[in-house]
Amino acid sequence: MSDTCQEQDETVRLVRASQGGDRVAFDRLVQLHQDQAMRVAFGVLGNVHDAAEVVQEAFLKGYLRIKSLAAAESFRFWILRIVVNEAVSRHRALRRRAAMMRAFAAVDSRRRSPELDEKGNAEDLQAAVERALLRLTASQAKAIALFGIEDLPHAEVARIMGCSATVTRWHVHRARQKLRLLLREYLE
Amino acid sequence: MDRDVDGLLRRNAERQLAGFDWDRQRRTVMQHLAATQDRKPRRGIGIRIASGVAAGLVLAAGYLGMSLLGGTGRDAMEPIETTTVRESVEDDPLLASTDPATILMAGSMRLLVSNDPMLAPHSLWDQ
Repeated sequence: MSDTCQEQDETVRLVRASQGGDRVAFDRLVQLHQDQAMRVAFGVLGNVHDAAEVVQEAFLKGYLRIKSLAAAESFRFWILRIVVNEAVSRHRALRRRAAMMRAFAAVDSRRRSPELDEKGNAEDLQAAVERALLRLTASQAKAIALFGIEDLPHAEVARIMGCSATVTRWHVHRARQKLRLLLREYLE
Repeated sequence: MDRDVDGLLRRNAERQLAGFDWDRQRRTVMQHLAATQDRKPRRGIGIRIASGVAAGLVLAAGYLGMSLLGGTGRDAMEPIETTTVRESVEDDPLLASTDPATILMAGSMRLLVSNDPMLAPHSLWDQ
């Protein structure tokens, strides 16, 4: 039996045990799925701290709602959907804050000296990616995290996002367009 | 060309998550979970206690209000001697009118208030 099949069987067994209130089983589920959950959350938000908080919140919600999960074998999609929804809520809040900061920065830059502007441009890839992700819409950030970073097929992305594969393709396309523009100096 | 952005994002994610403490993350989730579950029953008891206290306050306020307005004991304020009698509508001259406005004003019966002690047994509540 392949590793994937074994992992799937283990997940089903652990989900059923967790539905019966077995916390140790859920602990193992967290262990099995947290790295993918974390990559997806990071893909949407672009920073480790927020992504970690989102994943914690998502697993907590997952445990509290696990009895409502009828198909134990679809746990991975189910928990990823919770992670994505949590990440999107956080993305919206951060995006609003970033827009406000940009507005303040625009006013402030008129009073700044040229030396300070040069310092401001010398930023690392991480900060640039984080800022660029917050320029995307929530759907674009979701789509690029699931398809671009996590490399899931369009059908799976559509299933997690709750829309058609065509719509996810469009969001991925628009996200790439914007990111290519915003991160052009790191792509050359 | 399409994948250049994806590659950049993936490389950045790998670099940022390279030193991530997965065990700590898992422990934090389980700690939150334990704390949430421990809080749950206490919250239930708290709601019940709060409901009991609120119900008690409402009853006390009601009792106080009734005591102030009319009294509830034997030594409460004496009721005003008022008797009510029902008068047949047939004797009412208003019914002779065919004007709808007048009929509406008349109604099907009228209540008359009297202080006559002779009328006391015929209070509206006794009929």
